[in-house]
Amino acid sequence: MTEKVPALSLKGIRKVFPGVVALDNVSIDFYPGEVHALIGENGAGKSTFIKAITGAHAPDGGTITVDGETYTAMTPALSRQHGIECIYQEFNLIDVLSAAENICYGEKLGRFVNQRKMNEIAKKIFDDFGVDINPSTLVRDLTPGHMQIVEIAKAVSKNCKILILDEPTAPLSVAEVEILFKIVNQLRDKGVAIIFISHRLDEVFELTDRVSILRDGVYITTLMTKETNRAELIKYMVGREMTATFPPRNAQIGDVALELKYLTGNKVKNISFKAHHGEVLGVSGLVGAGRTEIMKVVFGAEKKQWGEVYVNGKKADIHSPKDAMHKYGICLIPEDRKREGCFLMETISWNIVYNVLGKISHAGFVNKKKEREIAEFYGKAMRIKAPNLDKTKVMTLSGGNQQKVVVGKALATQSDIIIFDEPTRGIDVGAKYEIYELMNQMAEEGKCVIMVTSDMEELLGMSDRIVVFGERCLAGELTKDQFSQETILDMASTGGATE
Amino acid sequence: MQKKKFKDYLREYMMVLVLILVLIIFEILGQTMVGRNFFDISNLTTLISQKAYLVIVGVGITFIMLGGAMDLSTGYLLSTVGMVMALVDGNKSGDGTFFLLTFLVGIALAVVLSGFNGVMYSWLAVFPFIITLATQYIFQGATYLLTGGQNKTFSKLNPAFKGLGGTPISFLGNLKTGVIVMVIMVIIGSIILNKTHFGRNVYALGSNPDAVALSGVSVAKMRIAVFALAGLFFGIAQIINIGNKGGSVQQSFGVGDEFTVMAGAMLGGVKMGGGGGKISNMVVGVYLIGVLDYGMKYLNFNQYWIYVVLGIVLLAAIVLDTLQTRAAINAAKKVSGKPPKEAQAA
Repeated sequence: MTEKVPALSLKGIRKVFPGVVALDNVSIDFYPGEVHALIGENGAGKSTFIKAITGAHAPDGGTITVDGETYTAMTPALSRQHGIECIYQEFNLIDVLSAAENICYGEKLGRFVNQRKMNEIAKKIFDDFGVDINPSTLVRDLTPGHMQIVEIAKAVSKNCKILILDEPTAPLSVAEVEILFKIVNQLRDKGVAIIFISHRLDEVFELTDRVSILRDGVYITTLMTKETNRAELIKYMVGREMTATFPPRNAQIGDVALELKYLTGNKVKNISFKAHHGEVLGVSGLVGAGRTEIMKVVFGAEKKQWGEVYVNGKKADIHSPKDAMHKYGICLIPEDRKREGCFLMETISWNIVYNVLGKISHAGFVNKKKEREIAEFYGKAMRIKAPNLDKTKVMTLSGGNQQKVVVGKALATQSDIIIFDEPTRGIDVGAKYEIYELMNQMAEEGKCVIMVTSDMEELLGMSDRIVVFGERCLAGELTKDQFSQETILDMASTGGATE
Repeated sequence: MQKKKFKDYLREYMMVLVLILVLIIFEILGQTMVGRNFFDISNLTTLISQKAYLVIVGVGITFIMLGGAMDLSTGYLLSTVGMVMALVDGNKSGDGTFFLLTFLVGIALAVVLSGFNGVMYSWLAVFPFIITLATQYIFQGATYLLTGGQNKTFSKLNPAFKGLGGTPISFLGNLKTGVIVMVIMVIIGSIILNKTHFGRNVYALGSNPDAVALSGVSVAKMRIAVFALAGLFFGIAQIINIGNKGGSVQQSFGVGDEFTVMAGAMLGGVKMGGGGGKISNMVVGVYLIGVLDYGMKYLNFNQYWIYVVLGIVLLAAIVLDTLQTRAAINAAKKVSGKPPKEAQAA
């Protein structure tokens, strides 16, 4: 393999986002006829790396060599020209067109749309793959597995030389994964360079020739898959230095505040765990493992299929977020604060009191005085930095202050059970520390804090206990003396396909 | 307290300034072109009275727009309501309190029809454009069926119509009673929007329905409520409209007005698809269009030029608003401070 010329070679790639170095001096070569796994934890920089290759991001440093030509940055057109195709987790298909039309999309086959020719092209690729898909079926009528095959067929029809698969097996069933692997192996034999990104280490061992590991935007190493093992990979993936400091907490862990028994819904199955008063419970798992989804079920924002929620030992009957907040004192601080958390166009006060308007209104009229009191109280408690709570629009605040508004809005409901979903994503270090202090304060007041997070440092630094999600199920629970990055990652990356 | 800058004031009251500017232009043009005053109490009061009905429709439309929706069916809805009121009124126009029933039926019908738009919107959760596109045909056809043909006119409706909407208030030029109703409706609408829990939810709905749902407020119920409430204003508006026209009603009453009102609301600064604006913005916008329309007729411009001018003004307002929003977004992206020395050297 060493004499071969790499199909794609990245050298010293660096990418900086405001406040974060997403990639730092990453160099990897990809060879034709090789399946190369790219692994790393959430936020290790895999997606940014891929985006540098496809031209979605221009790197701040380093070079990309493909076909013997060297660039400092790719563009989408350039990468396509060099036969680089990427298949993302979200499919990039036009679902009202047929499989064949999607495959031939953007290609000129004569002056008019030539249905027959397109179907022939598609049929030939599908036959090569050994799959039975009718080329004239509309994409929206296909299964996710078949949609993915259409995506790959589309890439192949464009004479793709470098194929990037970003978490390709996540939406597939076991049988579909097998078909996918068969196709990938076929493409490898034809000399395509394949970059395979997966959280499932079992798949890395089953399919790939070499594996590269990224951690915190830094390139760690590349290994021959045959010569390594699961434990070694995990060791490389974690080994993260714990640099952040966390404020001390002096809370008494009390009775069980929230208990889930076989809770199922929103594609997540049979989740059981307990959370106590005065405790910070960390919820870990890879992105897409179902952490956010189950929290939405608890909160009544998504339908429950079966299972029970108990609040303070009593069975809770939650049908909507209103029940959760006002009957059972559960509040949720959502993952995507801009989309679900707050009203950007409105002022800080407006946002903070939004959930409690019912309580501060008399005959439907909002009591301005009470509104101001509540807004001021939580504005101060959250240490929101803004010129004027009544006038400043949330849109104009920094990410950290926006998050404080969302937290204040949730706390104004005076809930005892507070679920944070990615509490510190995209906010600066100072604001992070303040959020941690707020969490501690809540725990010290005897509240039950549940923290869903992808940030390993935060998870280990803040949690009293951790529950780990595998894929859409619970993989295990760790007490403080069992905390270790390796164990958590091992639990979280245990494979398993959806049904 | 953060002090408001002159620029902020200018932005907030720009449309008022434009309105004043247009009035001044018409005054000058009036003097030079036709040798008459435009600023004349009878002139201005006629203008105000004429457009009062549109403003009441506008209150309803503003609720719908702020709630993140739109309504194409308002025009035919108004037409239907007008015709049904005429039918209910029938020959009983002299009968004491019978008009109360007529009004009640008209308003209730408007609430039900608009509420129906809301129900379909909530149920299907598709953009209300297509729903109200469909329902406007239903309203149109139903009206023809009810009255047995197109271009029907009913005159001499109960004098109560005229009393409520079209009786001159003697000491105030040509100002008519409809203006009083308009003022009341504007105040009621503003209070609901600014002071009540419901009003907050209207803004919230237009601004971020996902966040509304996560707050436990039923987005579906809110949408129905917004449309039904708008219907209430539509019903009242049509009563005033009929009154203002002297107590007679034609099938065409209301048809096409939804566009004038939506244009006015947008012109005034009510954001289509939610996200900001007040009733007062709509009032200014609707009257700006009203002044242009009335003024150009007054100056004997060709009728067709009026449309061209209205279109240009509306387009200019959209351009201005878009550029302002873009500038604000770009300003928010900017970082304060200067590049470090090393960077300056390089």
